[in-house]
Amino acid sequence: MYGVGKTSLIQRFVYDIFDESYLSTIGVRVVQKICPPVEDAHGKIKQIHLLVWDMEGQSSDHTTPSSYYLGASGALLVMDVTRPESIDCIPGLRNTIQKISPGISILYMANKYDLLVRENNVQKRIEEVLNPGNTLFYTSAKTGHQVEKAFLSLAQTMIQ
Amino acid sequence: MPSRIIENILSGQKIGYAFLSRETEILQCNNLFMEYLSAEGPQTQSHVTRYLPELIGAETILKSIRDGGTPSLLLENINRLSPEGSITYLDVSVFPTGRPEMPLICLIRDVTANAMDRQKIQQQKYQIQVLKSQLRALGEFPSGELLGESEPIQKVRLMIERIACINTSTVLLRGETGTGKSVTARMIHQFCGKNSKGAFVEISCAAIPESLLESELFGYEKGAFTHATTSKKGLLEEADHGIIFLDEIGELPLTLQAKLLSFIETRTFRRLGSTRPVKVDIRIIAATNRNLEEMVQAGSFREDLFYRLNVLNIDLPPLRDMGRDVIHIANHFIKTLNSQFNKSVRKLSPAAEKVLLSQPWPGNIRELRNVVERAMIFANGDMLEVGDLQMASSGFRSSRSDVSAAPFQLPPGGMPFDEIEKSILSQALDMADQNQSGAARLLGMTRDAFRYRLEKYNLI
Repeated sequence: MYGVGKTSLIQRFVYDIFDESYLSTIGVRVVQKICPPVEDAHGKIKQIHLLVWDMEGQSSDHTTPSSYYLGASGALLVMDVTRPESIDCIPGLRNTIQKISPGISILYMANKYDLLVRENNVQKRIEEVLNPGNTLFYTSAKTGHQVEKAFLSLAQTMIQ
Repeated sequence: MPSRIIENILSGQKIGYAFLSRETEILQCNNLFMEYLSAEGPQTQSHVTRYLPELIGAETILKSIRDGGTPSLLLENINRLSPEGSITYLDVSVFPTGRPEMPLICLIRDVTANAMDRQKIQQQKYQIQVLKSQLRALGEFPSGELLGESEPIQKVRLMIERIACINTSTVLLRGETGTGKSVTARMIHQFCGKNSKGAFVEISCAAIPESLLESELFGYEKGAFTHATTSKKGLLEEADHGIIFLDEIGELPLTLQAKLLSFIETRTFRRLGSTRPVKVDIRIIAATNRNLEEMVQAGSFREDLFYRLNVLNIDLPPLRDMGRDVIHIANHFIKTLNSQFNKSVRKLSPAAEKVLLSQPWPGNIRELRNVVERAMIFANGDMLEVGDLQMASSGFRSSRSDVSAAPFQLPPGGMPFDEIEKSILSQALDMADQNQSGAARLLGMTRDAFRYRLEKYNLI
């Protein structure tokens, strides 16, 4: 969904920077990041070159073109802990992606954690939309909290 | 149509093109193609993904296009950042050519102008929507809420919900300094929002000199006193159809107590210098950390006003009676302060929890927040440690009972009493967040006696 902080998370992960100002993304911006070596399911050390697609957020009058999802190996679905409706739109987004790219690895980021006030309520709402076993990271692009961990976990999951 | 003509048409329409091999290598392209991709060129025989990494992962669909299974691929608004930071937006599409030697053509069109227009509109719309939904979320997950899950605080929450629904004119909030009386008053306003169209107006009766308090509350007419060059509405009028919150009502001078009582009974008042009665429809919430019954006995608070205010009352529990809420609340402050201090502290360490649980917290939640805020400055890891708390508060007490249990010992060399007294007064003020009533109570003296000492040492 728009305004949840996708671009800020990617900027934090790739360049370790954060900009307070909001600039809505149009279309898609692709950036590359070479991750630290990780071990695959067979115990082999692999160097992962992540190609991260920063996509325009969905809204009532903009749906992400399905061509953007083609060939994706993993997805980080981002919600904003200060905006309940961004949590509610996660199941629809997950279904769309899984239809286009079956078998895709999906992890979840609950962003703007630094602004979270009543954790219990938000957690409850997120638990309602996630399936058992789904991996969730509470992240803050602003402070960097769990941002790298989430991206690297996805990379690890993708090579397993 | 001969390919040269097609190429001229494409270049004329400012469309970059590249013919691709079966393996999607660039066989032939125009200058615009490379220009759009900010590449030195033309670079034939290179794989197209070298310039268009967006096509990585699309191998299957490109093969399907080549073999006639899929008509085309379109990637809209691909962003390209210039070294100066400006963005170019490109539409990239791939079509089959039907020519075995160069089976695919990749077309690029610069759509920056359209995308920028859409960006401007979207930016404004989303910014408004994000702010609106954050405001809605504040209603759903309110931040101005009493913190804690213990039984006493749950009871207070229940009282607030019930009181907010009852159409009563006055509510009295009682509790020590820093227990959340102001937050409670705001919650009542928030809960009764649908029945209350007006504002929430707050005034501390202790913070404004007696001479100004009357004009602040009731307003005045032009010429009512020397500097009244224009008429001014009072806070009671500002709060019409809403709530006026009279904090520290125990400090209200007796003369104004009579005027307030008259207002509560008649719902009308007169501005200073006016004979015209003004009628307002407001709800009064008064708060105090004083024992009003004792004040009534002592003659410093009007008994009739006390009974008028004490129709519905809520007693706010001190932090020391809220058990492990001390920990929950401290962890809540840690989370909210992380962004302010640009830190990633997760929670209190188990040892720090023990220290906080052993404190008497005379300044209650306000004091706890101050301690956590100062400790966050020193925090270095992902937990707030005992050392951070000690750095934050050098006089961190092990427990209140320690102080009373150990009799004060005068050093053999004696000590300057005035300096000690001055230091104690300052510390008490700090602990009570500069609230003189709270500080006086910490030292077991009356507010007047405390003020006398402050004046003596020029601490006011």
